[in-house]
Amino acid sequence: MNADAAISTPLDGEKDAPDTSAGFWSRVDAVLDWCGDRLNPLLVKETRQALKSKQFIVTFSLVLGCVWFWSMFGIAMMGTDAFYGASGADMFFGYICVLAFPLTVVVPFSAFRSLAAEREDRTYELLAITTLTSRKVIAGKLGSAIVQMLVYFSAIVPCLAFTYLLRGIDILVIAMILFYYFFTSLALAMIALFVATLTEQRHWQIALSVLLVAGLMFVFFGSLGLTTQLAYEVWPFSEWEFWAANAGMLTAYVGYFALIFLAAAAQLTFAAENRSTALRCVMLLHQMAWAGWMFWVAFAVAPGGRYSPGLIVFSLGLSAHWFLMGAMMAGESPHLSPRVQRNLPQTFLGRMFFTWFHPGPGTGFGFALTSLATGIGLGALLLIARSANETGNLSALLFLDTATGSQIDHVMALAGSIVAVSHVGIYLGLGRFLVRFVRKFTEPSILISLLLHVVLVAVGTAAPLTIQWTLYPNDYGYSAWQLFNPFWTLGELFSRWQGNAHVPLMLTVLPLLAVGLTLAQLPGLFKELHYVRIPKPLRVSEEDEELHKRRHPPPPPTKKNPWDDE
Amino acid sequence: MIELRSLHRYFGQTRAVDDVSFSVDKGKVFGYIGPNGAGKTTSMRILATLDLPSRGDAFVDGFSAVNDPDRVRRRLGFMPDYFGTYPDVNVREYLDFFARAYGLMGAARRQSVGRIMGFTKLDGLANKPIDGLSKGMKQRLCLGRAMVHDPAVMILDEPAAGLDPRARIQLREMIRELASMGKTLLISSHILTELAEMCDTVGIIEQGKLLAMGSVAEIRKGLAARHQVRVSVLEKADDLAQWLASREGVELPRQENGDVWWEHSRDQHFEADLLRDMIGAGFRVSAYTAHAISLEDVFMQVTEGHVQ
Repeated sequence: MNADAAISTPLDGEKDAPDTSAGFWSRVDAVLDWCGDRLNPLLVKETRQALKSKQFIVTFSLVLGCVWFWSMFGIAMMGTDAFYGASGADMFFGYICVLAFPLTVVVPFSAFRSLAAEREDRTYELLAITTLTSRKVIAGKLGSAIVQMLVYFSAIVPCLAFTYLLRGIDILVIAMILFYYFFTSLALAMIALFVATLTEQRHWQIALSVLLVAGLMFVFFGSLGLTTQLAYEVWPFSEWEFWAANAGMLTAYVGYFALIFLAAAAQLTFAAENRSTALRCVMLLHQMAWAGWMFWVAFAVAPGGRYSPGLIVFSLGLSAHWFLMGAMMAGESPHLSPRVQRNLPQTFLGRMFFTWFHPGPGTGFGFALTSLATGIGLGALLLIARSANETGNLSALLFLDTATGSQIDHVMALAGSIVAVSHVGIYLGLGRFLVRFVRKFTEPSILISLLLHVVLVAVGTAAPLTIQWTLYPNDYGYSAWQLFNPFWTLGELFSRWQGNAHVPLMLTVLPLLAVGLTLAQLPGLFKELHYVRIPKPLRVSEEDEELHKRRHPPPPPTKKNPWDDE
Repeated sequence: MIELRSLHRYFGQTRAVDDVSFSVDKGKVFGYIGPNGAGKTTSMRILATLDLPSRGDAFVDGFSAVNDPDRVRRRLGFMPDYFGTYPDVNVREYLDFFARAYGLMGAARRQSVGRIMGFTKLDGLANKPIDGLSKGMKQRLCLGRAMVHDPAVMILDEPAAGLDPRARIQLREMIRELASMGKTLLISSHILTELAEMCDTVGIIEQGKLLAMGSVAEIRKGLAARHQVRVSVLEKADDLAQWLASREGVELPRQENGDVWWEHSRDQHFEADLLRDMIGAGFRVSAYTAHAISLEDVFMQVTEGHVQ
């Protein structure tokens, strides 16, 4: 053993390629070994553990037992219908009931416990000081969950094929439902892993595990309800809208999955590391993907359809999305570690465009609000362009021509978007003040920050209701008291747009307050903008250079004349 | 190779580590000694990148444990004061997992695992589940885990705690072997005698403060200005203790098991003069011994037994 082996040897391992000169089976073995080396270490360890664990053996045996029982019982119940009827869907539903429990409850909860136990038993500390990155840790746990899912699938898929032979259910329907279950289970496992990273304290872990189990049970029963619908429906496989809707859902799925994955990894990584930039990049990409979908639907797919309901859904969805993101970013530390400062942009343009991607609650607030405003602004521009396209005159661009129904819809959609953005600005602004106050006593985590914002919205919703119903016990209608209640205000705006006396108030007070609170954040934001790039420590530069040389060794000297060898 | 620079760590009002600075050169063994709750584990955890200091920094091979923990981790093997084992895993699988986690691949990984099992004498237990190992075996396994990636620096937190004498001797031999390989070692213990033989330097910490640092001989020499004398008399031991208390320069005279003990900070002439006066005063002295200060005494004199 060599004490000078300061840098461990993954690079050396890269050279450990399979030996192709040996016999066939030796080569196969070498290739498999080579592949095994590249598997996530946690996946290897957890698979080995799972194969020996009682929990897995009991659950798997139960699944097999239930499947066997249902096969016998179902066929006995069907009797001669098995030959003459189309009873595949009934049998399918029974098998899905058996499969859904491990997929929606057991696998995600096992993923949660697996990571939570690492933290409780302090084995995570031993993992943390290895060269495994936090992303690899999450990926390993997720990989282990996928292996479990595949084992459960493998147990039940022959039975599902059997249901197809019984007729009454299409093979594509079976495939699609399995596809949905796989992705649901994967998403739940990812959420469960994220939840496990939120706290190390045992009492919080217990509280979160209870909430998680409740949520998983809800999803389990919900998925069964949905499956009863889907298994007996005729699916519109030949219609492009069906595939477009699936692709849209997949876009949302991929975006949120990446966000939760990176958030969970960020929770586990060391404090000095930049935990934000990757997340913010994914947030932006996610938004761009959605904007792309919106443009495609508006112009390429349904140029003659009504667009304003789409903008309303888009604005409300985007507002909720950025409120949650902003609430979590408010929990970031306002101090940049020297490590993060080493990579700050230096040029004027770089600082102007990329500062928002660096960690900090102030930049997070700015990032959330500007992204939301940009997203909704793009939607509004689209709407204006559509208006101009429909009416063929410029007045539509200025919203002066409100005579036609579609124009009224357009103005209402824009007004609703402004109110939604204002509410986000108000609550994120107030939330930042609240988090800053809490920071005087303790460093809040992103979970605490999120909870504070949720409490703030709950208070903003419940307090006006209480005041109004106390002062005017018989008045159940909307009043100016409810301006800070985002749900009722938006509901009021969209349900009673024309002739509503509160609308001017909504469109003046709320935006003004949002602008005021945004301006009030500027001093804190400027403090974060003061950070400038610092040079790498000398030792770090030396090692980077050494690693670079190892990765890119200089080419052997070329012989330029006959005497070079000498 | 290791440097703690003005390290502070506060937990609320408690100063777990209070301005601790020291450095350990490459290939040296540093003993970190202090009573329970002195701040040893906290400072070791900071060095091992598992905790953050309130102020100051810790460095391994010139890399900051705060800002470049990823680079520190590649050079560091940490054996904490707990085992950190997994259920349903055997010895080989456990070491193989950590070798993979440190990025070792293929033959390098297999060789490393085999070498570690040989070094820790666990090769006969390769397929034994970890749950079935004794405490001594688990401790060796954890030492093996800490060195699976052949780190240049090793931090061992109370490695011998709770081990029986045989396991303790085996572990000590392994640590000596690690030192002979040229690794830089930081070992903590609350027993100075346990580390005295194998450490080049020791640091004594209490209530988060580093009270003394140097080789055991240097620390002992620093305390050697203070002498302890035992006097045996045939009778009147109580009277002698009272007589000594009245003499200038005599400190802490006390009677223990028929002998009289006292301390002073002067030279040997003082001891000789006092013996002459003692006999002159009519005490029948049968033994008069200047007592050597043991390592336990050094530890007891440096520390005061405060626990936070």
